[in-house]
Amino acid sequence: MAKRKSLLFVVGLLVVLVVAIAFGSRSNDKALAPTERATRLAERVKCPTCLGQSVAESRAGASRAIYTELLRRVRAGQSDKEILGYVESRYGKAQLLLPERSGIASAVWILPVVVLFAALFGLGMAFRRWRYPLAMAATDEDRALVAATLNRDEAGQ
Amino acid sequence: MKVFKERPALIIAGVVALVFAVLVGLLATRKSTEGAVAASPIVGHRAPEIAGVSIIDGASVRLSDYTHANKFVLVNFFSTTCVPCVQEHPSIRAFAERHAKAGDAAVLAVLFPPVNKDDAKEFWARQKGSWPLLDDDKAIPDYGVTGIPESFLIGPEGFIRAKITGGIKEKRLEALLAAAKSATFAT
Repeated sequence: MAKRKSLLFVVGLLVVLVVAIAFGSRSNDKALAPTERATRLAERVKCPTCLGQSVAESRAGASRAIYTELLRRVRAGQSDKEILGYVESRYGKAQLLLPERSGIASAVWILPVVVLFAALFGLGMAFRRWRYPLAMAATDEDRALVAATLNRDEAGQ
Repeated sequence: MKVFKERPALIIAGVVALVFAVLVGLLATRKSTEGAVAASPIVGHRAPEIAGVSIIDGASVRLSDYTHANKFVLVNFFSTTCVPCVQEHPSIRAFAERHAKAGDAAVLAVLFPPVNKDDAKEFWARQKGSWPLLDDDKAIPDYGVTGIPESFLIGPEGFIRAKITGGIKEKRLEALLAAAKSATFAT
């Protein structure tokens, strides 16, 4: 009964965790001001004329022009998918600062989930081991060995 | 092995010198990317409209006006602060003048930001630019411009035929136009 209760507790905790992650990562972009949403999108687009910077970070002319177009499209009511699709249609996939969801690049999305579940499983196993002590008892032979050692030490003193 | 043990510094210096010589040879003999036809996802697609008032004379300009007149159009993204843009200007001028007379092609320039209209006007007057110069921010992302100079050859049917990166020479432009004219393009 106690085992079943603890299992239910762990399952409940996992459900709460998954729901919290899903809720926390839920996109709430519609509630953002147009400039904030455009900035978020600009963070996902590479600056075409600089190295290692997003459009949001860069002050280069091309980046400013892209940002203005992102903002115009946000104000026109386009979705994030539509806007990023526009960027991809003009510059190609390489312009987006998000790994692809197919092919070898999809490992970037899958691996963290696999590692998370492996870590949870490992933790579960560890907790289980710590909770239930090892079913080992000292044998007569062990006791005799310890007694002999203690006697030898006392004799030495 | 024995030679390496006796004179290691000399051997290492020799290997480094050899690698350096190979690199210099490769760089010196490789084809220049100037005026190169570049891949772009928008090549082969309908050219986004470019419209505005020319900075030079205040005339209203639309890209589609040229294509409706059955002309090829060279859309050139340009800045007065970019050296290759200034260097390619005489070639584009010769191309524009020749094809204005022939009536088969036109040039349309778009200023690349940061825009300084006074500088551009002064440059156009000094370098005798005869084609419209627009300040159209939207054209930069619409054409997927990644740097300057960059040019796009638009066919009379309104589709992008080629993207050219870097400064371009007159001969190369003529060759590209001739190739575009002779190619059959299905829309």
